[in-house]
This record gives sequence, C-alpha cells and structure tokens, in this order.
Amino acid sequence: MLLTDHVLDDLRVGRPDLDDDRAAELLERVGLPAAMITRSTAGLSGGEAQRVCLARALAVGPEVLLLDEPTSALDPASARAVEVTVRDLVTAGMAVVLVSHNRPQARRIADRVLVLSEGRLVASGPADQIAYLKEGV
Amino acid sequence: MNPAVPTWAGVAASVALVVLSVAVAWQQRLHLAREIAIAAVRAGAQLVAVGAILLLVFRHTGLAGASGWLAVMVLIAGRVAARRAAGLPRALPIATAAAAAGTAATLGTLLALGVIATQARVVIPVGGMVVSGAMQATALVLVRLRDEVRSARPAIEARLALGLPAADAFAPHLRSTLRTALIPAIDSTKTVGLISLPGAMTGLILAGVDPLTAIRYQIVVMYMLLAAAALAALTAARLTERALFDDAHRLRPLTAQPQEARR
Repeated sequence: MLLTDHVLDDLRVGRPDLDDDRAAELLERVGLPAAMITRSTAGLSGGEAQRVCLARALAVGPEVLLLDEPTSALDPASARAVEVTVRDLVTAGMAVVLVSHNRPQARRIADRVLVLSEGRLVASGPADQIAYLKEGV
Repeated sequence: MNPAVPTWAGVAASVALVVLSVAVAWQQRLHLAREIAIAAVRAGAQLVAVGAILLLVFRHTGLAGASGWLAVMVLIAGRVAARRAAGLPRALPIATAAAAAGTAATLGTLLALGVIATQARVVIPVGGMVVSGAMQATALVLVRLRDEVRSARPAIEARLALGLPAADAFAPHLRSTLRTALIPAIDSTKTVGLISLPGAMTGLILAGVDPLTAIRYQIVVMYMLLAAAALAALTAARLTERALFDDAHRLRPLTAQPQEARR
C-alpha cells in the first residue's frame, strides 16, 4: 500500500526528517537500487512497491516487524524477492513476525513456526520440526 | 399595504397558472396532473401555516420565540444531514452540533456587531439562511468522510501502522473533504448576481427597497453563508474524526451499511 506519488515521500511518511542518504540506504537494505529514491511510485512493480513499503516501515526504526501476508498479492518472482529481503533482515538481527497461508513459504523463511487452526494454536516449534509444514504444498 | 405585493384576490387569480400546468400535463398524458395539483395545494397550505405561525411569533413571543424557532431549525437540519451519512458513528449528535456551531457563531457575530437587528422578523429569516448553509456543508462533510473512510481505510491504517497519531494519519483525508465541502459556498459567493439570483436581494427589491440598499443586505448574507459553511464543516470534520478513532488511535469499523450499499 503506497501512500504518496514519490518513493522518497513514501519513505518519509513515518519519518519526515529522513535524509536522502539514509533513504537510499534503506532501499538497498530491502534489495532495491539506491537510485530509486528519485522515482515516482506510479511505475513500480508489485514486488518493488512491497519492498518500498518494507523500507518505509524500517525507516521508523522498529524493534519488531509485523508482516501480514506480505506476498499474497505478488507474482512468484516478486514474492521470492520479498522473501529474500525478509530473510536478510532476520539475518541482520531484525525480529519478524510473519503471517502466511503459504506452507512452502513458511518452510523457506521461518525459524520458528506457530500453526493456528480456527483460532487455536495447534503446533509450535522450529520450522524443520513442524509436521504440518512437511505435509502440504 | 405595499402595492407591489399581490392581494389575496391576486393569489387566487394565480391559481390559473396551476390550472395551466395541469392542463399541459393532462394534454401530454404525462400522468403528472394529480401530482402537480397536490404539490400546488400543499405549497399553499404550508406557506399559509408558516405565515400564520411567523405572525404569532413576531407579534407575541419576540426574540425568545425566534430563538426557539431557530433551535427547531437546527434540530431538523441535524437530522437531515445525519441521515445522509448513515454508517458514521454518532452522526446525529455530530451533525446537530455542527449546524448549531455554524449558526450560533455566524448569527452571534452579526448580532453582536449590530449588523442585523435583534428582532424576530430579522433573526428568523436570516437564521433560516444560515442554518440551511450550515446544513449543506455539514451533510457534504459527513458523506465525504464516510466514503473516504470506506475507500481509504488501508491507507489510513498503513499510516497508523507507521506510528502516526490518528489526527496525522487522517489529515490528508480531512483536508480534501473540507475543500470539497466548501466548494458550493465558495462558488455561489463567486457567481452571486451573475448566475444565482440572490433571494434576499430579490425580496427587498420586490418590497420597494432601492437596489443599492438591497445589495448591502445581500453582501452580508453571502459573507455570513461562507462563515456558516466553513464553521459547520470544520466542526463536523473535527467531531467525526474523534468519533472515528478510539483512544488507542485505532480506526473504528463503520456501523450499519447505508441504503445504497445494501441494495
């Protein structure tokens, strides 16, 4: 969900004092070229837009990122790009809570998994020990 | 009696015009003859009733009666504006408060500065214009805000998620709503005398006042309508904003669906 007409303005929604250098750095952190800060948001692909949103969230310096189905509206290639970005953030020390209906995705990127069914917690543990993730596609 | 005003015999004679309209409708088989006749009778009866009540108020109740009359107009205006905005929380009290605020501030200023006389025969018609201007602006604000919250909820919630307080997250939507709601008042101020034929001025000219005096009244009326619209719109917008968010700055879900959406 982009909020303005320009990438830089969007990055500044939650952080009005964000300078250009820091904005460029944030874009690189989510795997986008730094030069994108000059772009308008109109021509961005779905995956690029979603990663600008991630950078925008990082701009406010959060301790935890809560991501609700961040790839549900994306094509497979864009979804993979967002997954890689999320994984990189985790490697860099960011705590991420991600909600997904996509089992292979959870297998690919999660460390710990909580399985919810009809509002109840039915399983939890390291991703490689959750039987539910091994069953499905 | 002023010779420019029709006598009762004259009014009776003007019924010929209704007969003419009914004849046209009947001859063209528009199936409107009955409706036209009823509308004409209704208009006559309503105006006679209003005239009689106004006469009573002017002669016997003075300013207190005028205030009561104004209060009733504000209540009706609140109802009418709120009905347009079904789905918004607390629409009725908000619309009523907005119409009241716009009316009280505008009329109060005019009375305090001595621009208009503190007489029932002045306060009621001038107040009526103010209330209807305030009502129009209030209704526009409420409808726009409701539609804005429906369509822009993801954007508002995205701003909230980035840590913006409710007022900041909502500001762009509030601003565009207020701009839209004030367009009719601004445009009618711009085109007064060119497109719209102002009622107050027309009335004074018909009553025999010379045009340069009549326009003085009209100028005051236009300014007061601008102020009434602006104040009512701002009050409606601010109160709605407060009703839309809870103490934790969460955007509340809208209540019952409006008629159009249910169909």
